[in-house]
Amino acid sequence: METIAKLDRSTLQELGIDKIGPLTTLERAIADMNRSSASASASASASASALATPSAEADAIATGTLLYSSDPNYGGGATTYGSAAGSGATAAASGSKDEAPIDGISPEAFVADIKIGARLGGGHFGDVYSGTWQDCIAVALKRIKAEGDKGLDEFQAELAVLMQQRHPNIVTCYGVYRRDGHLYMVLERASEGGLDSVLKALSQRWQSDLLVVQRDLCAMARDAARGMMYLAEKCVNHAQRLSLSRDLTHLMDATAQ
Amino acid sequence: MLLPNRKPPVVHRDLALRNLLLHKEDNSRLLVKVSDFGLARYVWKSDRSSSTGAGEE
Repeated sequence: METIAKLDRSTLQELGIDKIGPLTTLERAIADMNRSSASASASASASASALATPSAEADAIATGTLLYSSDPNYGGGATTYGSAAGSGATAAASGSKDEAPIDGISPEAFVADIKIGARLGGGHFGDVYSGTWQDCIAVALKRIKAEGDKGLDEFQAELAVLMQQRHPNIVTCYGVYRRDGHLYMVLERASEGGLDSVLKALSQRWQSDLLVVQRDLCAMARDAARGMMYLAEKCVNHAQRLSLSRDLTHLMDATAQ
Repeated sequence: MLLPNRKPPVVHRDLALRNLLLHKEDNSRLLVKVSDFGLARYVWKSDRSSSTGAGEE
């Protein structure tokens, strides 16, 4: 166990992703992943032959473009996101100065100047609030119930993964905000909300024009696939693709009822 | 096999419609964004299909 931990630590440093904070959270996340990888691999190989390659799948659904731009410049988008996150880092540390540091979250991850607005929704982890950062950037604030809560582990794991991702089709994480004993993850706010509720509304409103809806669904599916492909990079990840294709079926079924 | 000098891939593990967010940009283009990485993990093996979970290193 000791040798595995050492290996993971050195690899993390080699990859340059040890800057989030103490490595304990990442090491724990990796241990979790290693435990679950054996079963995932077994099911993955069973389904491998039935699936197309990731790029073929993405190409196949990259047809509908009605409300979307024909080919948005994703490289340029990524640059913008990177600079936004960079300004977050410079505004850091002031949010945590009057409270004790939290194990696993680096002081640099904290952002300040957040206004908390209405509650947007909730989940098993806690509530999500609307907010603004520096009076101009619309953010979603994902709050865990209390700092001592079990949810902190998942919060740290999510932060460790999300802070490393920069892509237009991945929700950007600007950092962490702390107020009144609550921890908030400061996330980019998507104006229209979750696709499940959006599609439900669309299916009622656009029944008469199914072709339009299906074109947009294709573009949505393409976007989701782009995000997932960014996460997967060159790694062949069959379990994820299986899950994605199932969700795409749901997308199509949503309008057909 | 570990992947030196490269950003590790990520498994999301909770992909669902409720975790895909729709955003309308200033130019009114729509953009879908993958959200909720609470169950996500880094993947450190380059090819799972050939290893079928045999080795841990």
